[in-house]
Amino acid sequence: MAQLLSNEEEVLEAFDPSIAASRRFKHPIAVFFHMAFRSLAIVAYFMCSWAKASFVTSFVIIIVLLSMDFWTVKNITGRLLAGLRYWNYVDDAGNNHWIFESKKGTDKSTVSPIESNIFWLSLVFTILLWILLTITTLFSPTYIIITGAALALNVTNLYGFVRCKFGSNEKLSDEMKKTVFKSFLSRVTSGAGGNMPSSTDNEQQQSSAARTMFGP
Amino acid sequence: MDTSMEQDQVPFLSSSSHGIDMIEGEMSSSSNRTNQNGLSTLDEPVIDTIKRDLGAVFRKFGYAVIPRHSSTLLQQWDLWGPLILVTTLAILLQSSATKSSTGVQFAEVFTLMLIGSIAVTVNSQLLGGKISFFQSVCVLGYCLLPLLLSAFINNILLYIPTKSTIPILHIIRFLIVMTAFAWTMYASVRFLGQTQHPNRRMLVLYPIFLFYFLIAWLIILHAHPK
Repeated sequence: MAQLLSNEEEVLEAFDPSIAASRRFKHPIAVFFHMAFRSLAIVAYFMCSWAKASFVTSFVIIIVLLSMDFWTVKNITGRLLAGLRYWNYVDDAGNNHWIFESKKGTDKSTVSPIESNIFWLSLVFTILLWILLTITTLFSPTYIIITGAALALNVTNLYGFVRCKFGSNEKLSDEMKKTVFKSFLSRVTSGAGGNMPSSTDNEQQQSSAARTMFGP
Repeated sequence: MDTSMEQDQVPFLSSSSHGIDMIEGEMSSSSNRTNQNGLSTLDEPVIDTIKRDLGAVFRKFGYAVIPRHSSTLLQQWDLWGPLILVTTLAILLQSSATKSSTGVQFAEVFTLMLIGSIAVTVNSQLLGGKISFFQSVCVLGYCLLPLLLSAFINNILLYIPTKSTIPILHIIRFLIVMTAFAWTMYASVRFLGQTQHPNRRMLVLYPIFLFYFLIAWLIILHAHPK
């Protein structure tokens, strides 16, 4: 009897993703990595000052962890945990565009609220922590670079995602957004040296769109 | 109809067209569900993303070493290459004896890179070119690769003991670094020179020349291994 019931739930979930989303973690690995890199960066910072490591060693370790955290949050966990994405696009005329996107409408229910809360809270909390650490290093000309860089990277991510959420790209008309996206995708797929065949498959487009979000 | 068909291929909707919201919502959720099935295993797309990004970084290194006509460096900029190169260069240029000033010396190279990029960007924009700060950091950083190689060779050469009065070693080092400098200049000229009016090319190239010359000089001056 219990077996039957659980199968029913699964059947229901297949038709209504909001049930699955609200119930449990959809992306546990993403949540883990989201927390892992930023905690590691903070732990490394304290370890380096406790172990009296040289500035160069601590700088390299912390900056590596910070940049991995930045890249992960921007490209992977922002997309999966909160349904938000932002990227930069330079068109052929040399104009710079920043594009902020967020899931809308019924897609919004596929974003799990627990994960979304974890995402935002950890972002804000990390920034507060790094502000505190920056204040403690205000009078050291070298360590302030580390804390300053950490703060800058996290604030950039927070700003980008806040702009995604409280979207301010109404100024971009729909037509323009379409053409921007299409020309961006065609350049991405052709610029990949022909490795990825330019198909109109949904998956292909989404994964190729995710491709160039490495630029901080 | 055409509009909604195109838009449902974009799983992330950022439009605000209210008229056909219902249709868009359903279509995109069904396409999103097929996407979710493809993305439900995090391993696959993440590895794909990493592979693509790594591939792009290596491709850019290739373009920096053997300059070809390509818009990749400028239009799809990324800062991974500059980060790796500048950090490695800063480590290679360490030579101070006292512990307190190693940090400052390390930060020197980063500061130089930062201010150099700002100068190149501002100069280029003032002269009418369209280049953003990140793009110039990207190009300047990636084109540093030859100079980095010369710094590496420099460090290796410094371990060769030489007792002759003729500073042969220093002359060789100087020549190697200058060759790398010329190579770097050529590569970055091919990328950054594109964005400019032909008449103003020399004006734009001057700060780039200064920047790379400063770095080359720092490398040559690093004559005492740590």
